Amino acid sequence: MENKSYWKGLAELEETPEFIHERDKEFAQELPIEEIFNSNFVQKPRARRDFLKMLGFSVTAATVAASCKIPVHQAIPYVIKPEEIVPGLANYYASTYIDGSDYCSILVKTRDGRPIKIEGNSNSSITKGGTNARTQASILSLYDKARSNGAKQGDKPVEWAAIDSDIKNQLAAIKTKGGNIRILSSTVLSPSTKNLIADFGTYYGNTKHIVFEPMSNAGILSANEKSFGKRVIPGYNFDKARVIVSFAADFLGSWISPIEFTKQYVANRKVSKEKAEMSRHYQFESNVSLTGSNADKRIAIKPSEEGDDIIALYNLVAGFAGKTGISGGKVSEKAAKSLNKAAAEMWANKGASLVVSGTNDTNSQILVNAINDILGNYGNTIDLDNYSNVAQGYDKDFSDLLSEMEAGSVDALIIYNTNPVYSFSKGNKFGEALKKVGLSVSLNERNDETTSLVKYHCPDHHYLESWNDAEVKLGKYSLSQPCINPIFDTRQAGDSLLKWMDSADDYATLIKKNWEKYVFPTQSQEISFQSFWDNCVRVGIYEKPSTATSAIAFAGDVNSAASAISGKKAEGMELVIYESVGLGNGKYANNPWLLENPDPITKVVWDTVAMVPVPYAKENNLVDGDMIEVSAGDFKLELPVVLQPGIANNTIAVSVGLGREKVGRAGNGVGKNVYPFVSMSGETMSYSNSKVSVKPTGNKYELAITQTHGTFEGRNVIQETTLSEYKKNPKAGNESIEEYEHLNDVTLYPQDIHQYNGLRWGMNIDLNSCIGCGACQVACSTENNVPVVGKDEVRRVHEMHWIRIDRYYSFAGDKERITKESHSNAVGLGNQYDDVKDWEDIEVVHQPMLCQHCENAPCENVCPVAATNHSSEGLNQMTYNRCIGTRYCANNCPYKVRRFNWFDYTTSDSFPWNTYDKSEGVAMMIDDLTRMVLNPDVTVRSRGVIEKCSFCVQKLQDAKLNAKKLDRPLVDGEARTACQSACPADAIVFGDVNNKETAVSKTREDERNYYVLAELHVKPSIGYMVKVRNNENMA
Amino acid sequence: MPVYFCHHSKKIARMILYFKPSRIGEFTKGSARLLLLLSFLFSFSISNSNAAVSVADGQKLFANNCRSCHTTPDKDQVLVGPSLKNVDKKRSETWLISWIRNNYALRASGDKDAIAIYEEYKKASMTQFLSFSDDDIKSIIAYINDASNKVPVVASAPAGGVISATEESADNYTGILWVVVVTLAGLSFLIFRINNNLRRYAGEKEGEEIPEERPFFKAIFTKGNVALMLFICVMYLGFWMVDAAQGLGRSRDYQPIQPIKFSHKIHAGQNQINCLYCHAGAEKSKTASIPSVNVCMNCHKAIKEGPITGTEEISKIYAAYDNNQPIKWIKVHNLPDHVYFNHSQHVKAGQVACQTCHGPIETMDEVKQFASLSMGWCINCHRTTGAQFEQNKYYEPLFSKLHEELKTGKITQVTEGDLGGTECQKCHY
Repeated sequence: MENKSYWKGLAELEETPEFIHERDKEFAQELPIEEIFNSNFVQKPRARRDFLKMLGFSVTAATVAASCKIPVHQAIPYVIKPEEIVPGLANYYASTYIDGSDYCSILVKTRDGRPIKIEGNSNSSITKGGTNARTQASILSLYDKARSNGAKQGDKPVEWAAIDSDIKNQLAAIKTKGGNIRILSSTVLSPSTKNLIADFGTYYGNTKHIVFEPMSNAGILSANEKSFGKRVIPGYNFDKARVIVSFAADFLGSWISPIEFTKQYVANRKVSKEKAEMSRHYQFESNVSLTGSNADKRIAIKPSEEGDDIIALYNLVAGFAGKTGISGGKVSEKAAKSLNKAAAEMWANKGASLVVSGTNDTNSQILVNAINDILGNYGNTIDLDNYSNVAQGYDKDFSDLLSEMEAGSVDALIIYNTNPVYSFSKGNKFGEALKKVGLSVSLNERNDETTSLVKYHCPDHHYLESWNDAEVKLGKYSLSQPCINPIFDTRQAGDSLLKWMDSADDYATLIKKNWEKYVFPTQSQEISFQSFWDNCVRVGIYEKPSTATSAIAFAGDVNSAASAISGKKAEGMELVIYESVGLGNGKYANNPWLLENPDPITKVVWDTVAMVPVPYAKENNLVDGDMIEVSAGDFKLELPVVLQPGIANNTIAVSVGLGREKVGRAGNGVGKNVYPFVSMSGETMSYSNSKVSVKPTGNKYELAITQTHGTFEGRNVIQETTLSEYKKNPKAGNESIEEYEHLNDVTLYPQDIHQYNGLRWGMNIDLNSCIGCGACQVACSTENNVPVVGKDEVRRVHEMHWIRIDRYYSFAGDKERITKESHSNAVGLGNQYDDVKDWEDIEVVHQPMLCQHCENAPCENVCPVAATNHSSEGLNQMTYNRCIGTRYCANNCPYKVRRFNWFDYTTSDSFPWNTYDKSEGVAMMIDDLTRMVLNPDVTVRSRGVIEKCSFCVQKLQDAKLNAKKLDRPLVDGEARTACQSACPADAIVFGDVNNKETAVSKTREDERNYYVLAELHVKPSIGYMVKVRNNENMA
Repeated sequence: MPVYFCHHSKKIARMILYFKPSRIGEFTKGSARLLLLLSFLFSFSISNSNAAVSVADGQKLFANNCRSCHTTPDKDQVLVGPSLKNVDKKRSETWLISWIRNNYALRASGDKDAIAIYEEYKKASMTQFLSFSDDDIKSIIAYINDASNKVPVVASAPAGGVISATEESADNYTGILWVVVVTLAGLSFLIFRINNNLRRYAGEKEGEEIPEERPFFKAIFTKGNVALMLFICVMYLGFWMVDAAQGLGRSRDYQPIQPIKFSHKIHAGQNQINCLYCHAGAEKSKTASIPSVNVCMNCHKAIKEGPITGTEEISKIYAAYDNNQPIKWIKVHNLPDHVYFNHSQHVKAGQVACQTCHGPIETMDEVKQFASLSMGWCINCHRTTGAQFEQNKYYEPLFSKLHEELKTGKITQVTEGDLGGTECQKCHY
């Protein structure tokens, strides 16, 4: 495969002059000398005098500044120290990240009473210690000053007591007249909150609870109701599926329960000599999703083709089973080929296959159910008995609510953790209708688009300040406990409801009582409730054994379902709306860590872009950043484009999650809101539109896009093979390693060979497991105080991430293409580029790239002040206070992982606005409250120094010290880097490579292990595992 | 020894400049002696550790567990609990064992003495020490017996006394040395002059032509001499500037006035309260931590008057406790933000005595910064001090080469520097 060419973006593939200019000038930042000499200042007649004046001033100023006394530091101990706190030692509390449908069982690291980091909780059978970017970043939202501080009536701050009596009086009046009360919320995973809402309904009467999910899965709910009489989201077991067919379900990125599915999915993607088997994954989708980028075979289809493709698959599977087919199912030749293969494989793996669809269309989901039923997947890979509680949103309920409100028949509306004015397609209509509601209360945490239109605002706590519980899957309970006192004057939503019900309990007591009543009796290990409860709080979860699966009978009407979805194929441009992997549905749009975390596919930060197919762009002469106008119905939006290989022709894709107006200073006005493109189709919302028109506007926009930053200039850094090759030869794809192993057996500097007598740290990253989600990137920023730099700075290639995920494209089946290196001097790949006919058929590899801690590190030799040098444990150390900022090291790093602090991004204590980027997102990080999130064990770097991955040396030192304090050797797996523990796919292994028994040493012995740029003989400490694709005979 | 020389010359320079003898050298010497003393005590305790009952063990146990409520047994003072002087004679050993191990049980069993003590001390019950073995308690009793017979040490701690004596003698020597040098210099000048004059007279007698004598200042201020003086001045100023620049931001001898006149001399020196009793974080955490008010209250519930300041200072603790207002101590030892320092690493893993860095803290009424806390100072210790290499099992599977060399006697100790302790990212990250 060594002739295959990989490229990060079209600019790199085409080698456009701009790309080459940027590439060659990567590190040069020209001083504006010309500008100064031509400026008025120098041209002025008395420049000399002014110069002397300035010189005098600066000398005086420096003298005054330098003569300041050393500040007096105070040490203020507690009056009464809580027993569990030892200043300087971190405590970990088990808790749960719950936000609507988002769920993750976590451990919260608190230092001296403030939460500073989230780790996964491996006790949970659902998330199994994995996290995602949003969970990691949620800690920053705790310190978000845009969260509301105190109750408000309209714009007027009021006392809680006053607001309570006001609301209670009005509710009582509504109760007397028998008025309608509605509670509108996002998905409620908490059984206690559900009980509470039910009790609230009983107390006031005429109350209905409506769940609104902006990215809805109501189609699955109703399909399961129609097929099996159960309105539930089933539990999926991707780990039991040998063949997976997904119709645009982004189950690794955003669909239903991504962390859980990632854990399951990668369990079947890890290959070894002992287990040279992996699952087969077909992905039929229009945009390029994170899941699609990991599939063995991606088949680009237009959104309107999806229905027919599902019908075709049904017919094929039904054919195997000897059932009669259904009408419809006319598919393209390309799709037909893959569908045939997929159907045959699934039939051969009956009960161990899985078909999922991300569509919100009930009929398509019914057919998916029917296919799974024929394949015998129910009870195996799909579990209707141990169902999931996420994604409870039922679109029909919401649209009914809207009509009720418009008709003026809703007397009270309580909004809890949902923001339909922003996230509903006709948000402004909802806003109008809100005015007709007599009593409107919002329990949202901030004064968002919806809250600003209600009459009363009783802000909720952040989840890290709250008690809560969750039943994410049947019988799998999870607890949240407060890890800090409320920072702002807020009150937990449950407490607000309880206050209005005149209840004496608070919400925490209510949870405890509920657990005593419902959960405690289901177990027998613990005899007293208190010890049961204490244990549950300690471990964060309580899980009942799964219930046995019962036999199900499919009762859906496949024929009518098929007739509703067949023959929809449209000819013109189509639009797909998808959920952003990082930002989700938009609630976290004020989180700079997420805003600056590149999108896993487009690598765009701080913006909403339209993915457009390359042929369309070529036709219209569009390049990245050119603006197009997308209009559907009466809604128009101008968006910058990103040329997206792999997207279906004549399709554009846009993600939701940005374009907030009232979210806070970082997110306001960033990107565009694309929810208005969502339409109601029957009873469910539809996230695609086949009646859109697209036209270039001729405007240009400068995107902040990191995809070609840190280019390897055509050097081959990816090794891959196929499963059958791997079975034949475990070294497949890694043949070059033998050549490199003996590359420099002779050295001119034998005295400079490093001796590692004690530990020797090393890492291994499995390219088969890494899905490219970006959780590690946020975790790294959190752990290591990596600054946020803002959109402008990213445009200037100044992003600071210590770990980046390089996403490489290659043309599927591309084996014969010459390597890029051979004509890297030529501008453009010329005919090679023109040859490309099939822009839809691409393959993707995600490669996390961080400091490789080379043994022969090129950066170390060139540092004039020895600020970067080698440790006896194999770390490439960076000493900020020695660094004088020559950037020679960055220039000499073949991996391009060194980052320079062009500005004082995080500190600027004395001049809070003294940063280059005046944008609010960057300023957010220099706020005193937000700085509470910083890790006190890691230096905050100042301007003018280089920084880079340290292998989380503070964590390594801590693990070593801990072992020494306990008077025992270090245990393998005790020292973990932040990226490693955040990874939901367990792609990263880390440890001591001097010890042959450690996990990481064993990976080094594996035939798949290779070193990126091994030919340079820099001897990296990070090994990568050859990517194995199970992609033979898929089309 | 060049280091010594350099150090010494600096001292002389300071003396000339400020007419104020620096006390740094003395402290270093003093602490070295103290260390010697400590290590002697330590080795003594080790050598005795095999015996089931030992006074040294008892002393250690007493210091760690009893000292916070009882004075040392050589005194009669009542702290939280009574003085234990001669308690081994008042009570039987079996009674003492059961009382110390579990006084609750003893009281519950209806023992009259036990109940009487409980009543006498306002029903403040003593801590239970269930983990103590009989031998442990016997050791404590042995120590009490031993210490009860000693004459109480008055006022300043013994170690301090020794230091001050050597201090003076060292100063006297230097003074005498200077007097001798000056006298000798004067004498040699006189002799030179006399010799010169005699030669002149002799020459005159012989009839030789003798050039007119130049005036004294002219003879001194020759071009060569002036140039030499200038050179010395420039060199000295340069040295002084570099030295001062390096010292910027360092604050040795920093001795801020604290909100409460807390005396380590009384607490750690005279009353010999274990450092870790108040600075409990030192063994566990990065910071040694300043005790919270409730820790002060453990003893000061009972002790309401101090020997020097009476009730004035102690009442500040009560004010803080009653008003729930923390005491705002001034931090004495400040490290720059880019330095990571962990107390537990040194105290627990490295077994370094507090005094090594904080100096003779038990003699200080007001704490002052003893060491320079400069990087050179840190590194020097890492280079020269032996690590807990053979003692700590952490190192067992690592550094096989060093283990081998120790065994064969090629090296006698493993320093922190040998283990990578002088690398950048041991302290800067």
